[in-house]
Amino acid sequence: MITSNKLILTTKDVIPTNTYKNLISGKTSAVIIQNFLTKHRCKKIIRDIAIYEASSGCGIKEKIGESINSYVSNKSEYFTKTKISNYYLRKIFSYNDPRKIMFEKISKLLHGKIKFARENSMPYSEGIIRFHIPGESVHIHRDNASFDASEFSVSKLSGQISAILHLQSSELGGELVIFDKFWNCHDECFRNQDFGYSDKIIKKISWSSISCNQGDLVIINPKKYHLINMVRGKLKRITLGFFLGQESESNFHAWS
Amino acid sequence: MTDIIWGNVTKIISNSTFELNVTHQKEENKETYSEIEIIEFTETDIMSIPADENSRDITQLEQGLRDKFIKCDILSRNEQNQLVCKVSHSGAGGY
Repeated sequence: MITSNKLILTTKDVIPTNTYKNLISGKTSAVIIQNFLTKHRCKKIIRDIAIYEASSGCGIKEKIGESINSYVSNKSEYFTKTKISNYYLRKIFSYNDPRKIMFEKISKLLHGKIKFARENSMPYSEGIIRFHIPGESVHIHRDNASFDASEFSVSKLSGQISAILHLQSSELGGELVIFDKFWNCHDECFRNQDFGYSDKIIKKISWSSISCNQGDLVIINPKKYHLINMVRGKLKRITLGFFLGQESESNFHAWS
Repeated sequence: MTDIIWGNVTKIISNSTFELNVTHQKEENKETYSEIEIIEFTETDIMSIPADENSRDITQLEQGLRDKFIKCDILSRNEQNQLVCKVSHSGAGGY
C-alpha cells in the first residue's frame, strides 16, 4: 500500500486558498477542518438525534435522511420520502442546526452561495445522518450523480464535492480512506453486483486515511474512490453529510 | 428460476437491442453465457427509456444505458440468438 499526502488540515478560522479548484483537479484529496464543532455541541446533537428512528438504505443499515443513489429508478419515491425525512431533520436540528454553520464555512471556501437543491419546487434531501454500527464497513465506491442519477436535475450540476461532519467517533477503526484515483466510465466493468467496485480498481494506487474525529468537518471530491474501514469498539460512527454541486460561478446547490 | 447476468452496455444497436459486456453470472444459472451478448429487452426500470418501443429513440437509449452497469433477467433466446431480457439498474456505484 502506498500512502499519499494530499490532505489539507485546517481550522475553522482559516480559509485555505483554491480549495474547490484543488479538490476538483485532484491536487487535494480532502480538506479537514479540525474541531469545526465542539465535542460538547456534537454530544448535544447526538442526544437530539437519539430519539428518532433510523431507516436502512443503500450501503448502510441505519440512516436518517435520503440518498438519491437508493432511488435511481424511482424518483417520485425519493421526493415522497424526502418530504418526511426533511421534516425529521428540521425537528432534530430545530435548536441546533449544524447545517447552517457548515453552509457558512463551505461558502467561504467555495466563494459562492449555497442552498439546498429543489426540482420543480420539490426539495431534495437536506442531508443524511449515517450511523455506521460496530462491525460495519463501507466497501470501495465513488459518488457521481452526473452518471448515476441522470434523471435528477442535480446530475446537471458540475464539480460534485462531499461534506461530512463527524458527530461521533468510533472507538477504533472507521477511517475514511481516499484513493488517488478518479472514477471513469471504463471502470464500470469492475462494478460489484450489489454495491461498489472490485478491489482490483485500487491496486497499487496511493491513498490517504482520515480518522473519524468528533467535531471535524471533512470535504472530499467523491469522484475519487473511497471506502470506510470497519468500525470497531462499542460506539457507532455517526456523520452528517451532503453533496454540493456548482450551478454557476458563485452558486452551489446541496443535496443527499 | 430465471437465469441472471450482469454487465456493462457497450453498444446500442436499435431501440430495443444493445450489446452487453457480461461481467457477472449468477452461480445457479442453468446456461452459460458469452463475454459479449446481444440483449433484446422487453421491459426496463430505467426511467428515461419509454416503455413503448415505438416511443423510444437511439439517443434516449444512449443516454440511459450506454456504459451503465445493469442486471438482465433472461426470459429466452430469440431466433437471432439474442437474449430476451428484463433489464434493470443493478446495485449502486456509490451511496
